[in-house]
Amino acid sequence: MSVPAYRKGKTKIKPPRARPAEASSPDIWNLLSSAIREIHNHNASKLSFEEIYRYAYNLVIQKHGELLYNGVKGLVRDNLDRLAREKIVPLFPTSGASEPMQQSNEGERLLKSVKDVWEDHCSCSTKLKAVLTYMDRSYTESAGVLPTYDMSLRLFLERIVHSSQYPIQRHLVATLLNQIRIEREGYTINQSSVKGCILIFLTLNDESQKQVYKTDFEPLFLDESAQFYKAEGNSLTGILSVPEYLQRVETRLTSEENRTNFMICAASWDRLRAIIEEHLITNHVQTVLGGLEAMVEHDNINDLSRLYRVLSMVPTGIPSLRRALKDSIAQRGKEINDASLRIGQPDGDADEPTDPKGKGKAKEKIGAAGYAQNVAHKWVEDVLALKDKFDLMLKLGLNADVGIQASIFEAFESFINLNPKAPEYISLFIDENLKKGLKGKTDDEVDAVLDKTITIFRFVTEKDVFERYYKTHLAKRLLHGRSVSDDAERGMLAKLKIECGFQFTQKLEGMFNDMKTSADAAQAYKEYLSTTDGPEVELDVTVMTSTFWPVMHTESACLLPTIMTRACKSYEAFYLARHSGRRLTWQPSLGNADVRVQFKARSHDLNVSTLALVILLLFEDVPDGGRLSYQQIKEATSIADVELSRNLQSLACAKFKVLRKHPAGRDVSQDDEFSFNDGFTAPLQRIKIAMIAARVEGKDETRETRAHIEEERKHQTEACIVRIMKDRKTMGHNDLINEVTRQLAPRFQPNPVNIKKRIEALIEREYLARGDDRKSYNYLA
Amino acid sequence: LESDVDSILVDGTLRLCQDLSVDPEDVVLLAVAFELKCPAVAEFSREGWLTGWTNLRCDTVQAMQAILPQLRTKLASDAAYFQQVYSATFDFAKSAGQRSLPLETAESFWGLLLPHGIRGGALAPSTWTVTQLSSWYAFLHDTKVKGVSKDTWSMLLEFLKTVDPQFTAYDEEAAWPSIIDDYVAWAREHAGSV
Repeated sequence: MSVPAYRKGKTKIKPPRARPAEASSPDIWNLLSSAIREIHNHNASKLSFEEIYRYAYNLVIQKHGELLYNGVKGLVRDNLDRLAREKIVPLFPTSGASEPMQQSNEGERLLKSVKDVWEDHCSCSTKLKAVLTYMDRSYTESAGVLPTYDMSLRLFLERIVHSSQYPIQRHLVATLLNQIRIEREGYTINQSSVKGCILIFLTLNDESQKQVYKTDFEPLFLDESAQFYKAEGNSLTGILSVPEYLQRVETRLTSEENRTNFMICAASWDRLRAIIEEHLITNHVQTVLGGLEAMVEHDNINDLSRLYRVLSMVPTGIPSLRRALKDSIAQRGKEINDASLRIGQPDGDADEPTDPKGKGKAKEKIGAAGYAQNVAHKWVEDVLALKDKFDLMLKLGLNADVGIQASIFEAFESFINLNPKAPEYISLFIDENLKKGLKGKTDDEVDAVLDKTITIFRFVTEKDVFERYYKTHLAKRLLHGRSVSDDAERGMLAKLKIECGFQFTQKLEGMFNDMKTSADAAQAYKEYLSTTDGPEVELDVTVMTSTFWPVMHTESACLLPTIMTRACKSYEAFYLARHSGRRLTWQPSLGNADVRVQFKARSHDLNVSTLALVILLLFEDVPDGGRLSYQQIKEATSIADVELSRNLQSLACAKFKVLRKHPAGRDVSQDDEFSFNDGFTAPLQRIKIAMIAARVEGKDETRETRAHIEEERKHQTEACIVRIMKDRKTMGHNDLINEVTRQLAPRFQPNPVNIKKRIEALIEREYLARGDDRKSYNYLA
Repeated sequence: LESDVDSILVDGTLRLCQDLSVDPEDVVLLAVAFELKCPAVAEFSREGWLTGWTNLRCDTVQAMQAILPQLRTKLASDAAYFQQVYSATFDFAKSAGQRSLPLETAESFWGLLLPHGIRGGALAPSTWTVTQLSSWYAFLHDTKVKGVSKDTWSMLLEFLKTVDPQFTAYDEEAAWPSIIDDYVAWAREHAGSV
């Protein structure tokens, strides 16, 4: 119909043409649900996002949120069920495959499928979430249900992972664990599908917000790992050598860490590592330490480092290592000690079987003096070598671990002090070095040797015993002029002073001073002689201040021939004029003499000990071929048996036989007779008849020394107690014992029982009294 | 009784015992010796005699006789008094110039005093019985101890008072004299055979 061109009146706005009546909810729903199905079938691209969004929107507007939500839920559920049925269940592994690669492949198929299903599901869920945004905004929260995405994931958990219909969880977990096991056994697996499935666990949370990984997988994983490593630990320790085992441990740890971090879940690593450490290390510490001895023996620094590294990982590791090292040192120390006791028997080599290890111990016949040096020298050198060995191991292989260092120290201290001759040996070692060992060495080298000796010395607890020996050896060195270098002697003294304090070295320094003073006096004596009639023989005198010098074992009584006493008197006159109020006592057993002796062939200048000279002079009056018996010599000279036989031995049984012994032989007996050996010859004009060098003491001498030491210790203990009590006036019993022990430590370790006895002795002598509480003591002024 | 000498010696002592009707071996005499400050066995000084009896308020023989039972009981039961008499007995029993008691002498005086104190409770809370004391004497004989020092004498009493015969309360690390340490070790070793 025609519309008039012109119309008066208002323009009427017509309402828009009514759309066709809104489709009913069921219809919308149908449309929507088929769209969703398309999404599930990967046909999303065919759809219009806007359209589907609208469907959902309208449903919510029309208050059909619940219908929508539940409908979607149903669709997702159905889809999942279908997927399970079609894609997962068929791939459940059969129990047929037994060969690892087959198993792996089968398992791989299942895992891949699950992974694919999951990824697919996630992607669909994302799309659904986008489409149902409005619902989520307006309906979901107020209805108290999960947002779409979360709901979708939850459904996955319910219908797939925790499916009550199919044993998916069981197979899934079992397959995962199996794959891991196969990989651990050394085969290659497809890591990405494992990773992907585990990711599922990691992403999903159950109703109580617990991560499904933690509830479903991790505990089983850790258990399985524990079983695996328990078995591996037990079997490999039996098959592999210790170094190989340790390498394996390290390798395992590295690879497990990698696997856990990459494929499984980094958060599980700490727990897994603890398990591996427990089963591979902690449970086999003793077995592993069984390999220590070989490493120590061959200085295998690398193996040792690895051992240290591995054992550091567990709490019991290093303490056990320390114990084992201590045992190792104790064993080696014992061998060194035993060796010294064995060689120390000069007559023993005939009976000894050859050492089966055959470490080249020479069993030649050596003279008694030689034995002395050998034993002491060897012991010290062996101990030094052992120390060097372990120091190097500590530094390079054991990470300079402070605790281990302490253990090594304790072990050395222990075995060194088990050898009662240790102080003596050390003194002899120094003695030998200061006599000749250091000849030709530079100052630095000298210093190095002496420093090393000090390190051993530090371990010794019986420092007073050492002092006694050192004094004796030093005296002999000084008196016989055997020191190789005055500087070296002073250097050693300085070191001892630093170690032990000035009291220790006071007397030793006194000895040095005496030597110097005597040398000065000798000058003055020479001048003195130029003014008067001198004696027939030249006299070189060393004056020793008695308190400084050690008491010599040897007795000095000896009847000197007149010619010698005249010389002595001359010096005495000179000396006592210089120093009034002093008394000189001659010690012929310490001196030596140069004498020209006429033999049939020619004359020789002999250097002999003074006592030997006295003996020789007896033969001046003996007709040619005549003999003197031991007893006759003894009577004429009044020399004591010990000294007499030693000197006779040096004259008649050693290399240069100035006298002949009848019967001939090495040892002097009291029935022997001696004659002047007129037929004596020797290549050199000047000959030194060796004086017996400082040697390791025989049993009797040692007993005597010990007795002296014990006496001295008694005095020192009492002096110490008195000193302390004088200062404190009153003190508890235990405190006193502790303080005394502490103060005496630089010299020796007192036995508390002995301290108690000294206290009682002092009570008896009324220096102390018991306190009223009977637990303490009071000083009695 | 009052003579012109400044001291009463052995004969005088025996007569005294007769007059007091007391056995010369009676332990109460040790208490008397303590009260009268006797310098040695069977020796009384004039001064000690006079001062001592005065302190005890005895001026007649009858009074002296009467007080003896009191002293005897006091010695048995009063711990402090026992301690004093016990301590004084050492000095009294040893010869002048010696520092220690010969073993036999020590034993006989111990034999007088200790059972008396044990029975009377002066050693409380000690649980030692008189028979158990024989182990101590056995030890001294076994280890051939020659003399007993003052320290040993005093500390034995302390020991009997504080340590039980089974030595459960004994601490080797404490300040006991070493002879007591040795005794405990010996007794433990010989347990059951003494």
